[in-house]
Amino acid sequence: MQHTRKSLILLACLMVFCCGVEAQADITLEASLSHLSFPVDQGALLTITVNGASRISTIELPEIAGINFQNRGQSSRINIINGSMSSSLSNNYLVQAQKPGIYTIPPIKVNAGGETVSTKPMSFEVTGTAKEGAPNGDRTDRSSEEVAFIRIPELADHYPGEIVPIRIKAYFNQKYRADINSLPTLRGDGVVMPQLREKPAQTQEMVNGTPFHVLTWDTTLAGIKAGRHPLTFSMEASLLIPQKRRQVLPFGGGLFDDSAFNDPFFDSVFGGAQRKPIDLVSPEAVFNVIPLPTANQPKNFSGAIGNFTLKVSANRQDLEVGEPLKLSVEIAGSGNFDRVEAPSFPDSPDWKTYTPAATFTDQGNSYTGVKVFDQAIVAKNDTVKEILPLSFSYFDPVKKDYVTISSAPIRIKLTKSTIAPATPSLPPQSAAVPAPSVASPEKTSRGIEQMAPLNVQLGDFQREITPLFLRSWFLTLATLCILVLVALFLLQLRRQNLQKHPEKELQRRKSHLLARDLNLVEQAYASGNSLEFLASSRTAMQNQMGLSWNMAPTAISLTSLKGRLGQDSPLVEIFAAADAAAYGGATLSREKMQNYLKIMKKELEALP
Amino acid sequence: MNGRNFCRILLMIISLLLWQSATSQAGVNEEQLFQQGNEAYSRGDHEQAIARYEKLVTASGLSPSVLFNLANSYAQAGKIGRAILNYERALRLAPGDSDISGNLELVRKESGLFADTPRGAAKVFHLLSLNQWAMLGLLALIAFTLFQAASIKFRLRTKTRIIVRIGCLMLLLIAAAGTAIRYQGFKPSVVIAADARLLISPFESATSVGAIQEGRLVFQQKDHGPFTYVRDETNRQGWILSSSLEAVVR
Repeated sequence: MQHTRKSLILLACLMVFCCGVEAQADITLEASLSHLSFPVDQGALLTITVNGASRISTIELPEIAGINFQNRGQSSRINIINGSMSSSLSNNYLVQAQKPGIYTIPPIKVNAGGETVSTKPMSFEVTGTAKEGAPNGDRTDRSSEEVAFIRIPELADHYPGEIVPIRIKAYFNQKYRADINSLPTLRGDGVVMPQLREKPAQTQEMVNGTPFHVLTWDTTLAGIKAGRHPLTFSMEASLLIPQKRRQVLPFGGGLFDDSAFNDPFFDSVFGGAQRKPIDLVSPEAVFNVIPLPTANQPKNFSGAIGNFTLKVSANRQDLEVGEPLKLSVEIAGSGNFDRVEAPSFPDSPDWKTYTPAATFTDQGNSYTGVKVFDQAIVAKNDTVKEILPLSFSYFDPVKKDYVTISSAPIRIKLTKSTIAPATPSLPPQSAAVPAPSVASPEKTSRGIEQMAPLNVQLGDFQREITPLFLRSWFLTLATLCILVLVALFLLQLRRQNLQKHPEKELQRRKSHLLARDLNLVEQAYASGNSLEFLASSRTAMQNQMGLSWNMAPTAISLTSLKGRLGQDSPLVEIFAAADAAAYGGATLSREKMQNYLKIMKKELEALP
Repeated sequence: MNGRNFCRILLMIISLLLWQSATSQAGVNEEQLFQQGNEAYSRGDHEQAIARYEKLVTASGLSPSVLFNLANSYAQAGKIGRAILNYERALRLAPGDSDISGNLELVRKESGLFADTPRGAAKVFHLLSLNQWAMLGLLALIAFTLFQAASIKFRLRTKTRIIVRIGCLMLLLIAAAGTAIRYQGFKPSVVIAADARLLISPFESATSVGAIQEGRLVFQQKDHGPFTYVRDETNRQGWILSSSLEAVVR
């Protein structure tokens, strides 16, 4: 088994070696220029591709008068097809010329995999600057579009204040490295655009077979005055041109001549990049703003342009006269919501109205959403049966006409007010305080003048406003109740426990009684009164026996004691002595009493 | 020794006299300021009245009467936000005062500041004030405790015991819920700026959600720099300049 595994490993190594040998054996070289003709202020990309080598030792670039080569990095590619592996390495160089002319790149020698191969000579033409060469701008646009450009959609005719959604797209060729320095700005008069968000949507697109990074901003335009307004969008960016590192060979070549630090990777990381500012400008577009028609313009038109719906609702329908009602007017749709105003409530002597408060909720952008106006209205008399319909007018740019939409009347049920009208009465102390004669500011109204008068009693002061349940007396009382409840609960538990186990209660009573009786016996012993000692001893025995045998203590006699405990019990002796003392007045010595006390404690505590 | 005792007693008497004089002086000042405020209000000099009452509040604290008069002065001066702020404060100190609630209602109505009427369960909990719910809860707790104590001493019918216990506990539970719900609305702030706006983001150039009326009660949710995120009585939410607000309970 082990032998088989070794054989397999050897076979695999052999195959890899063979492949390597095969790969080394087929080294080919290709060189290409991206443009065979380019302006002097631009450049072409020279790509040298070595097939069949995993590593390039040196590329000897020729020295041509007036031509600069700038390393643009290296890329590698490995293909495995049907088990055969091939690799290719590509080195890119930006070729720039100092003056126009026809140039030839002589064969470039490349040392790879121990072999030296050469490219074929290549000729190219360098023309004058882009402006000189293409006064009509066609060439400029075409060559700058290779790096980056801006595209905007076609613009149609619009109305002043109309919100026109627009998508601005900035394209950046993926072959080049670029940074954006600013957001797209609008160049043009008579049109406004809101501030763009800083993070655009990022996608990739192919333009004429070339992959581009695309930054997209969705925004809106609005014309502020009628007329033709040419406009463009521009943005600033920087083209990053990698710089070749200056080679420092402290040891004069030799061992370090072909070191890994000569890899072009380090040119891009450590070599830095030259920033070449580029200005992206979109093609010019014309934003034609045509005036709104004056014919058939509704009186309540406030400048709203778009497409809207109207919905009116009331928060209640059964109410008393004088009670406030909240009217919610919802205007939904798309358009210039900043010009959407609350439909005015029709003038009516039956209603008192207040200024509405507006709330706008957008649906992802500023021109679609719902604007809600909450307006308080108060019915003045009970003859009112419905809330009057409200109307809203807007201009529809698609229909190119004004549209007026109205709500349906809302039925309501009004009853007479049950609250008597407030008649402020001054308290006796305030009789000297006349009603305010100076009508203050314009905001005061008749209603406010009907306010309850001033307080004339100073009252108690408090440092802070504390709710009742946080005041100390409240907390103390609540805590006390909770403690009492806990105590009652524990008591109840104990009671239930004793009821479940009656023997425990009996034991507890016996212990309690024994302690009390023995205390009396000890007192008699301490006083040396043998009669009292024996009498209390007899009572103690009777109490304990009575509880143990479930008999009345007085029913316990010497006979019953003898019968239950036996003749030899020391308690029988003490009981007999007590009986004798009770009838014959016998006395006991102190030692005897001490002995009896000890016996009695031991025997009575041991009783079941 | 006797001399030392005499000195101590003398020092105590002097301190007592000084303290009494100081407190009576403060009482006189409070009374004077209050009267001056009332007189200014009666003359129609509401700004002067406001100054006197504000001074009194700063020096001595909060009194329902002073806050009520101050709120009346603000209302007469057309400063609806501050009027409502002081009525709300006065109402928290004297929840049952019909003059305060009446004037507050009048000012709100005149300014078109209507809040959503509570519905369903919320309507039930709005039948009593925070303090009334708290007091009801305490009474239920006391009744429950007394009944528990009595049931140990006296033998009561099981049915009676169960009914009374469940009744007390239900009342306690409802009162606790009422207290909790009403406490949520105990610490609002009042919009005191006349031109306040609700914004969608906490910076000045942010898009406005809409105007918010002076005197509108709002509940603070969070802060960010000079802005506070609030929810108003009508459940609108947005950022507002913190300087446009003043808390009813500080």
